[in-house]
Amino acid sequence: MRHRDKIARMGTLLATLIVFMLGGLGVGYAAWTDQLTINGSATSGTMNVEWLSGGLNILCFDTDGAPGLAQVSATRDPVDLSLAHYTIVNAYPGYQANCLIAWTNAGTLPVKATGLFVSGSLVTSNVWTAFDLNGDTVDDVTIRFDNGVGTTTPPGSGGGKNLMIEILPGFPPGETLTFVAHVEFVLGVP
Amino acid sequence: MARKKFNVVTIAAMIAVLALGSLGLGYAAWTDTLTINGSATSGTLDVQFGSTSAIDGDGIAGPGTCAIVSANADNITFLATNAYPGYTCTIDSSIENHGSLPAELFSVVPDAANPDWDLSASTCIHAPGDVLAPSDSWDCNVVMTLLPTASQTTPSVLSGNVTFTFVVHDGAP
Repeated sequence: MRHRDKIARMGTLLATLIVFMLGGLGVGYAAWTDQLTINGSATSGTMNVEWLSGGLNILCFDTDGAPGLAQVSATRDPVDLSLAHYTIVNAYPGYQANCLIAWTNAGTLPVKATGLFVSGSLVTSNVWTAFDLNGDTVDDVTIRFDNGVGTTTPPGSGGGKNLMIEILPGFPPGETLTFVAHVEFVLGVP
Repeated sequence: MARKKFNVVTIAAMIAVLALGSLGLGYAAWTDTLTINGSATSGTLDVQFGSTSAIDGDGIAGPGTCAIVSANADNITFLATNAYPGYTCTIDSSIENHGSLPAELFSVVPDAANPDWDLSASTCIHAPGDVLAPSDSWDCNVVMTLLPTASQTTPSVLSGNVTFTFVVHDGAP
């Protein structure tokens, strides 16, 4: 019994010694390392495109000249800078309106226009696309969006496209029809 | 055991779905949109007859009579009774443009079914292509003279029709 106790005690002591030795190795090893730290942070740029106030109405013209029968105007909303109003009055079949709708990049990142969408449908650049605005299965207007899609507008710079609308014979006389169009932008970085 | 496996799988699937969804949200933040509210209002083409009267060509004492039967903005109906070759019934009216667009006279057509009237003495037969501006009017005397070729009818009632057709002056198809 005493012999066994002796062996048990020696085993415990040996284990303890081994633990301390291994720990000591680590401490010794740690003295031979060093650390460098990098504290990093990132701020993202902003995407903010607005209609150019002075770049809308001054660049509108139509097929019947001024003053003409029909009139067209394009103005920026006084409150919502991302909203423009394109208005035609006293129109008739065959009448065409053409406004250069200009925007400015008020953000810090370059942007790129990807296209004009009317009622969710893409208007292919440089192609007249017909639309039925009142659901009577007869096309009322054709719309064309010109001057190329895909050019990058750097921050602080402006861009623009020609938005043309032609009244078709299917447009009912004496009525007002409306549409909503969106110009979509993505980041203009490679 | 099976229940435990199910819970783990369910949780893993939910995590995957949330992760994919957050990818979409993240991408959407890197786009921008400009909106255009557009509207187009068409003008109106509205040509109407103005006040109208009929002038009996041979007066009260003569055998023929001529009267307006009905008249509205688009139609004038007259009736000549007891007429005879050379008898005239004059429709005195005006043609007025009540629309917002100029009206171009496209044609003036006497009704081919009534070839017995001669209109050559009329004073408002503008030439096709003439344009009536909005808010403007043409004085119009349509003088209908019964031709000798007209047959005698019993009762001697003959009617005549003339149709003025206008189109939009600019942008006409």
